[in-house]
Amino acid sequence: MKKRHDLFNMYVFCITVICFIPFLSTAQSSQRWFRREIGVAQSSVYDDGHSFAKYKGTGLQVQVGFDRENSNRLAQFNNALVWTPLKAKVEDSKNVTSATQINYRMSYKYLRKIFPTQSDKIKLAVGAAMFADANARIYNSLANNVFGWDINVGLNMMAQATHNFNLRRHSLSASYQVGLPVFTYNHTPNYLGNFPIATAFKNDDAADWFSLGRFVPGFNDKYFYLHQQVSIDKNLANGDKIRVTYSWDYSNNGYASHRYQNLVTGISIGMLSSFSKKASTNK
Amino acid sequence: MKTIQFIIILLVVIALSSCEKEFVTPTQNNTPTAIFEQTWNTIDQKYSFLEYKKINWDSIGSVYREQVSNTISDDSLFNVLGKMLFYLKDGHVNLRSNFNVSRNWEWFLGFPQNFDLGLLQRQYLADYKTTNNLIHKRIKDVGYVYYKSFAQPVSENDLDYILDTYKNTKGLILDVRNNGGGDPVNVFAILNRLTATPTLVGRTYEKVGKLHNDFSESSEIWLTPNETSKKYLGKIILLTNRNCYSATSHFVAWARALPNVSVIGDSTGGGGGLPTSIQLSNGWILRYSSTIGVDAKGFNFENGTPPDLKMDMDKIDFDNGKDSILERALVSF
Repeated sequence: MKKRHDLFNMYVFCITVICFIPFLSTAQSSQRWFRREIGVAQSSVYDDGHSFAKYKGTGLQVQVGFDRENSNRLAQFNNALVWTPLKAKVEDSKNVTSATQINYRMSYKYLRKIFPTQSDKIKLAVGAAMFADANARIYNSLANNVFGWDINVGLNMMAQATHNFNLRRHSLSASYQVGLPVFTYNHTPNYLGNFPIATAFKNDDAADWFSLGRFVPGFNDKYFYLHQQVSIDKNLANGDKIRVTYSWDYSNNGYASHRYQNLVTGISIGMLSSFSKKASTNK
Repeated sequence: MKTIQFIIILLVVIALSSCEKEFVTPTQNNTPTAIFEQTWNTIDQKYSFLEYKKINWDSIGSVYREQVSNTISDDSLFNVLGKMLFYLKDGHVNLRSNFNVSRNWEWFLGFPQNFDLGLLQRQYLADYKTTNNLIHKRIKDVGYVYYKSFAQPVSENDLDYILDTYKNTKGLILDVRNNGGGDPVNVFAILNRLTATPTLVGRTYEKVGKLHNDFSESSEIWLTPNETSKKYLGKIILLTNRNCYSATSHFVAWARALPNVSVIGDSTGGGGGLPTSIQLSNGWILRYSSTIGVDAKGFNFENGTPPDLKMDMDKIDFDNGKDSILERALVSF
């Protein structure tokens, strides 16, 4: 168990280090932006380990990160925090109960451009993303149930299509991004959907939280995660950008004997502030 | 042309947002028959005492399944489910709707009350002290402490004060009669003050599979007293009745592992499994026991922890202003 724990810690450490390396680079040809976005998100959850009723609600999201781009590659480090108050979708309004969901997504995406010279057509890029995705829900009406959670750390394969165009003399850029898991460590509640029993009795030695996790290669009928994102950038003369992002993150997990489905969609608007050493060439 | 591109992008966004119903699809319907099956299946697969209580859940399900149709009213459906759950004879099993809560309280209603707070207050507890949620007084050179509910927190400072107050007494009586349970944290807070050495007090088993006997390996439950904290290591008597339930049953079952503790009164009411809950498709909440608890000797206390000395309150004593159980405890020191 200790070995497995160490392996996990090392994995998280490596992801963190690798994520920051590209942003420490001093390559003169690349452009870099600090990005922050704020917006609304809608979550729809069905977790039959806790409730046979679907929960839905609208909340807030905040995204902060760094973007980097040069003629050959794109890199994006992103942190997204989504808070959603949820209501049970039941027929009798007197039986409606509430829950709260907190979703945190961290990713480092690295994509190589294909045919980088084609400037006026759709530009394609493919690559990978190391990601951590943590989702926790607190059901207010359930007794003794510890929050429901679903934690994923792993590697996604990514693709992005970008198209630059002008609309009424505004320089715009639209991109569509999609990601699917290649390899994930998933951690989700056990059979009862509550907790390792030892936590209730303060017997920490027996609190084997890792027994609730598993390594998942790719995706299958029990495990499917899909990340999609559409962004529209308005390119400003000073190299900054105004961005509108529509994100779509879907989880479907049938491990641990119960079915968990979660769809988090969000629209955010934000600013990308250029901090490249060289003047921007992105027009 | 550019406008068309922009419209296409917007359409993609709208298309992505419109498919929520296709991607998040409940596996269960919301009809009365589906609600019945959700209830029956949850108990069948997740309730922890079907085998221990020798309950033929298939047979019970067959009887009550026939009484449910998709035209049945909510009230009738609730009554059918309530009757079916009644067979589990478990105070931790409830069905809760906006108009009713099903329950089986036979675990204490079919037994003598063996406790009267008014009698205690009038005859024994004049000028008692209250330290937060603990009522206490020195009676005949014995420390008497009454704890109403494990749902009410007990702090380390509370315990320090009480153990200081009664450190030079002949013994300590902890009266947990009518204490219906609460938070296990308070159970440990008190028990860790009654021993100087780490002590194995019980084990617990968690339901981990669909079969009635699918349980985890046992998790050991230890008392781990802090070396520096104040303790009471003299003779201790617990007073119990059938209304001692859940966390209180755990408290009594675990305390019996300590050599300085004995129990006088009636058996506790039980409730040895930790309750957890699930929500049905129509929003009703089903609560059920999800674990099995045993004491240090392996005794399953779901139906109660027996006392060392079984005693009921005597009616003549009561009429004469005496609490028979407390009186018996006082002469035991």
